[in-house]
Amino acid sequence: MNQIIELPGRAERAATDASVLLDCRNLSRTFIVGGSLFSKAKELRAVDRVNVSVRRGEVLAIVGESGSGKTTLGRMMLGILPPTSGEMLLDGKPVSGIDRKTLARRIQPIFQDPYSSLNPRKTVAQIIGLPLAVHGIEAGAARDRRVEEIMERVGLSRRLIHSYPNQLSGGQRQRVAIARALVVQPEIVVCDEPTSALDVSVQAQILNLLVDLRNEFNLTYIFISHDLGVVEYIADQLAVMYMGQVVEAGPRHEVLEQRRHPYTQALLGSVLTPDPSLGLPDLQIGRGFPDIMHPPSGCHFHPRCPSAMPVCSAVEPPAFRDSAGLVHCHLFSGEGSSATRPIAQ
Amino acid sequence: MAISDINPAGFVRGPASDEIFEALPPSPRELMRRRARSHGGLIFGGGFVLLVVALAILTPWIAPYDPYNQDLSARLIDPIWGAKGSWAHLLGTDALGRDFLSRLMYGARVSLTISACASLISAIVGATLGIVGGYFGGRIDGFVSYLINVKLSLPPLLVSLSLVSVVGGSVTALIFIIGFLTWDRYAVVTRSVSMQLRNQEFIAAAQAVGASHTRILLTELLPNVMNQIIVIASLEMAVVILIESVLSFLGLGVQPPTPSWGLLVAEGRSFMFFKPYLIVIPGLTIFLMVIAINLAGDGLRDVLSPEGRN
Amino acid sequence: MTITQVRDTSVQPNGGSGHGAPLLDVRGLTVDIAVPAGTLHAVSDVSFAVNPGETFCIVGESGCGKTITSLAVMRLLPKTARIAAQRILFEGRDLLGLSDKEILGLRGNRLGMIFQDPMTSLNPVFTIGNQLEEVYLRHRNSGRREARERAEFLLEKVGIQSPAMRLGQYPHQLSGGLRQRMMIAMTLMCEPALLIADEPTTALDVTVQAQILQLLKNLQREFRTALILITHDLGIVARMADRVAIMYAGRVVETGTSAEIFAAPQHPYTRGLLACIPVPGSQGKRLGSIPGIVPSLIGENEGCMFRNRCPYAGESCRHGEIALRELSPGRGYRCILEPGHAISEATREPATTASQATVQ
Repeated sequence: MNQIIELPGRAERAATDASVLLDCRNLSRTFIVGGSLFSKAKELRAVDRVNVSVRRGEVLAIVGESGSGKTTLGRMMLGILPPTSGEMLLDGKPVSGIDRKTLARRIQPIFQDPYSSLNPRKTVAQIIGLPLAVHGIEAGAARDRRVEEIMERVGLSRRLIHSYPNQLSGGQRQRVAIARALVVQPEIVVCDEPTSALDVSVQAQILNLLVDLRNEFNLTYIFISHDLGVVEYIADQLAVMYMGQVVEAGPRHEVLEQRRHPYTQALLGSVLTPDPSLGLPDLQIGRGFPDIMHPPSGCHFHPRCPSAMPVCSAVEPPAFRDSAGLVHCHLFSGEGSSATRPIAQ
Repeated sequence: MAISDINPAGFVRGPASDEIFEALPPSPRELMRRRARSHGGLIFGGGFVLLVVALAILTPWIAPYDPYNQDLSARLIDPIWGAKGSWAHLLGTDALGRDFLSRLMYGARVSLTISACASLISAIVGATLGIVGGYFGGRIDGFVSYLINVKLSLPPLLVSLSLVSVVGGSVTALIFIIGFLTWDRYAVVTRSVSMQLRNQEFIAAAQAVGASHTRILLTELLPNVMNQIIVIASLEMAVVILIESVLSFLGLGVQPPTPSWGLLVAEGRSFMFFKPYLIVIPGLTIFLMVIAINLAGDGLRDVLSPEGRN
Repeated sequence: MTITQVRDTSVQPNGGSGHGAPLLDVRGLTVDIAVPAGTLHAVSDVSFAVNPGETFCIVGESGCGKTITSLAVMRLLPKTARIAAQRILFEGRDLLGLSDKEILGLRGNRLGMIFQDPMTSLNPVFTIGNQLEEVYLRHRNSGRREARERAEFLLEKVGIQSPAMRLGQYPHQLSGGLRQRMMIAMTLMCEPALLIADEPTTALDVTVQAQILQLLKNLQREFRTALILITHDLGIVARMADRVAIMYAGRVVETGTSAEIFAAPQHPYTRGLLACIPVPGSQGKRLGSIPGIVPSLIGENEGCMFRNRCPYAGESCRHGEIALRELSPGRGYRCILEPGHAISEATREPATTASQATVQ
């Protein structure tokens, strides 16, 4: 087989629009923590039976706080962390059957910290050129031209091509990271908190750029974030994660309007919009984020949940699915009828 | 309402461009150059080392005599500052009438070659083990740590003594024995640095691009530990010179009549009390060289990885 | 730390709503820091006043000098920093004129400080209880038992269950949110009149952030403590602040009450900043953004520091020092544009769109 796989052109891609591009089925990842001669190894379920999928050209946002497993999920999607169980399908074919380099050309990352995601000893040209070098695309002057082209697309001045990361501002670094991801023309870009390390004004530049690039290259984004303000701006589909599990998922407007899971409500309530007429929200949830090494029984959220019922600590809530999406909560299973939906708190 | 309607007179749209807004901060190399220029220790130590190395390289052309040429009629002549010193032999002659300056210069060639080659071997061995262990972690790292611990528990001088006495002392043997006995520091440092780097996102980015482990090790990790390797190498050089001198002094290193600094001290031993210059001069040379290398090494550390101080 | 005092006799009431003397009155604060490449003009001519019991927010992006300003007030800057000011009056005493010993007596006592990362400000080898009591014992002439009682009382106040047990724990045994609560309790041990919180919730999860802010607000009301809140997050400012100072490149570019700043921002930077925030309902629209990057503050520069990113910048912005235009006491902005220019064009009305999406 030829080393370089020709990607489908824009027209071809548009024809298959609205089909599921990446599908995660029951994906789990367990880490073994500690464990030496003197201490017993513990299991940490970072991602626990997650089902999410994204259609071509859409933006799937994965929202959660630290320890929710969203970054681990992103790394599994990138193929740099093998799942412990479950499978991922890319265009209906299992990812495990696709070789690493081919997968790399289709899924690319943008990481959170533009200070650690660029090799400090390399110039911008070398950093953006690395994917080309790895895949043997172009060489010499042709490669430089391609690097310059993509730099221009992401709004980087050409004169920066031989500078080092420490000479660039946070926003410029993130643009370099975006250029590196896009230079091999991937279909999916996994953005792990791409703006949370940036200043507000720069964050807006980068968000606008991501939206523009998505339209221009018909990209599919997996957008991992804790910032619901940003997510609301960019996402089509939303999956809310808590302690390794997806607690609620669905189209953005449905999830944001209905907020069926109490955790989704708390998360949305904690978004502080710049409106001085509003006070601070009263979240009514328990304080402590539980120890991820020892997740609570039943529904992991029950110790903090304002609507917790006796069943919540005993039984893991089943999935409830309707046109508005998916929710894992006893309020929506047989035990709690939909009459007790906690919307009007 | 267009912006031009609101703008007071005299306003131009679009960002003004000024120099202060456009200048790039200095590159890492430029910063390094600046630090080096103002570092006295590096300039002094490095200058001395470079001078000695230059003299050693040029020795065949500038040495006044053949270092092996014996002249029994001119035995044990004092150096120029001594009572019976002469311009013919600047540093005097040894017990066999060989010109001492020439022997010292040829000795520098031998000693420096041995220490440079041995350092190269130990750097390659140590850095390879350290980077591989630090990057892969897990069982591979366990094995590397085990090797490091075994190495650290061996007394280097004792082991080299016994090894030399088995295989015999030759320049090649010395290089390999010393090289394989001093890699631990490289391994310890590169391993810990690689472990920190492994979790940096640029490594994950390289993995996500589909880069092979070899490529990541060589092009992503190695450039980031290179400075540390250079710094350790410069400091280890001094240790290696000392080991070579000790071995040669004990008669287990370079074999006579080949001159090396340690051997010169050993040869001068029997005349220690009435011709002290025979051991003072090579001893002082070793001493100065070790100090200069240490100064230069400290300077290199300050210049190359200032964040690594303390 | 070198301190130069520029004597100025023209004492004017500075900002505030006019009732009584301000608790903290900073006038003409300038901080220069010697760096290898030259002099970094970190803070230039910053003036503000904080009244007893109010929340004053200093807002700005990284490198704007907001943290340096607070450290200068606390006299915590390193030796390489040169501070000059007309005055930094705290409770009527000039902080710049105090000896090191006198300032130590104020810190942790009348002046409290909360940092972004609570882990770095708690000592890992002592128990929480030890550290809380230590603060009290240093400043109060009292016994350990009284200190412990005070610590337990405050832990309860900051919402920590079973305080007696928590006092025996070490910092690493607590979660980030709990640690920040501990820090707050620690700064409250001696009932400070002024609390400076530097990005107190940036390292925390969003749900925890809301809880910590709520806690700060409640405690502030209860103990009548003034709060200087340093943040980059305009959402926090809107919900917390009484009065606001927006900083850019070491200068205060706009001041006013929170309502004034959000309803009628005057400085182009403030407006740009407000337009940058994605608010509910902005999906599909382009966010406003400020092109370009913050200039380097090393070396001499004059004129408006925002001019390279400003759509209105012109020749007159390049030279001289741009003066702060006072619209009313405590309300001003540092720009040569006339007040009220182009407001409708650049800003949104947050009150109408934002309220729709907030759970209450």
